Amino acid sequence: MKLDMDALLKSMLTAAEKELKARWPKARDYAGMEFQKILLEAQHIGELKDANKITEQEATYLMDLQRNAARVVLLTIEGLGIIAVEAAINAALDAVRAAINAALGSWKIL
Amino acid sequence: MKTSRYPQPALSLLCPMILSLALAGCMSVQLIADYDQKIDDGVTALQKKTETFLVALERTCETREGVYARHVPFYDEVKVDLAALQVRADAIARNSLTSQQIQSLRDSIAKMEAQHKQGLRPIVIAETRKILNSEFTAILALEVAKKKTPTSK
Repeated sequence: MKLDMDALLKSMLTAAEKELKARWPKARDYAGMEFQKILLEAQHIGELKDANKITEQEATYLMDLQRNAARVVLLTIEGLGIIAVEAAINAALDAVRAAINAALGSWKIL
Repeated sequence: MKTSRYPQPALSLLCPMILSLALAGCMSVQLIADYDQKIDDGVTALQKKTETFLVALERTCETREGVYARHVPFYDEVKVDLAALQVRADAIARNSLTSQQIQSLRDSIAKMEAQHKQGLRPIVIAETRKILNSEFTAILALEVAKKKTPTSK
């Protein structure tokens, strides 16, 4: 089996990088938007407490909910990252599939 | 000279590893569960049910109509809905992120119920709606992202 490793590696890197570049801005925009919402909400809860519109107990309750929401948002961001990495790996595999299968003759292992 | 934002040495190491995996017979790699229509529909329905409940409660919470005792069936129903979603999410391989998200949502509903027992005021309900909607949105955002539409083909 003869493979041009340098050329295949370059194809894999290009394909993986293209996927990461395409997906990262979406994850970054989502993260930025959601982090901003979390900060604004925390600030708003503080303002309501300072203005005596809510009690300390109510503020504690809302911050507990906010903590849960932040956790859920972070899990989504983690998931978007995993999806991006998965896409990059599979794009890299796709990029060299034909070359590897051809090098292996009739074996379609990739 | 234009440089990549991604560390080339790391990718250079990763690619041969992927190639080895490929040669070992892996056609493609799956790191996270596939999109699940039932989770999507279930979370969407639960968001609507919760929103409808809170919109009505915001109006009635300071009357006898709004007391916790009158709304126990809502909490019971939501707990059953969430338990069903949890079981479904837990049963799917590589779905731990969604499972953890649903666990957080269950905790939030439990906290809301505890607060309702002490009394909820319109301003607190309005904030609760906003925060819960952030949770619902994040869960749905991940589920929809699992559809894995190709970006580069």
